[in-house]
Amino acid sequence: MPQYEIGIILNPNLDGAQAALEKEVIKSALERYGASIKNVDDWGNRRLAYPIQKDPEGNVVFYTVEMAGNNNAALERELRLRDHVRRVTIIRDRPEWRNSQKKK
Amino acid sequence: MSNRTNPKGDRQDRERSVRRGRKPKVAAAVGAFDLTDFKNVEVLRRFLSETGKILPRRRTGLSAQEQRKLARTIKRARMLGLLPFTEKLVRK
Repeated sequence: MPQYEIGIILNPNLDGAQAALEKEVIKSALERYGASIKNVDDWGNRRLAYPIQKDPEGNVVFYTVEMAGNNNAALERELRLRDHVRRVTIIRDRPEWRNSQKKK
Repeated sequence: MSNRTNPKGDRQDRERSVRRGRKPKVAAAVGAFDLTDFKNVEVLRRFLSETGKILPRRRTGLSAQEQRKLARTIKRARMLGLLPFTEKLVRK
């Protein structure tokens, strides 16, 4: 199954429990779409290069996921519906290409 | 360097030739990195100009193919707010 990298930016003003709940919801949504989570990369609250929804910070989380690629758009749409989710990107991750693309 | 003697502009010529080539290509300065990794913000930032534009190939020193891949990676990072679309020019 192809591997994807899902980048999500959450509202940074959530307290710990709310953020955990939001991540739980995201996780269950991912699993509902048949994704098996291989790695979670949580950057926490981070200063962004430009304000998103008038907020200069964002809670950045990356998921590395294996799933069938036929309903990415639906998954993206569903994640976007959450109020606290501000950005979603799903990008095909090809670890087998990485070495050949490494400079030098 | 040319051996052409030019009494008037000699100093200027030498200065210019020293100046040229002093700035290393960005890719050479950075070393090995993954061109497709949009999370690698510190490295990608070096391929942007002061105002946030993607540097041209003559500055990055990448091949055409690498430059295209890098541009796509930078644009992905921009969408997530990791890199700027523009930055204010600070006048010195």
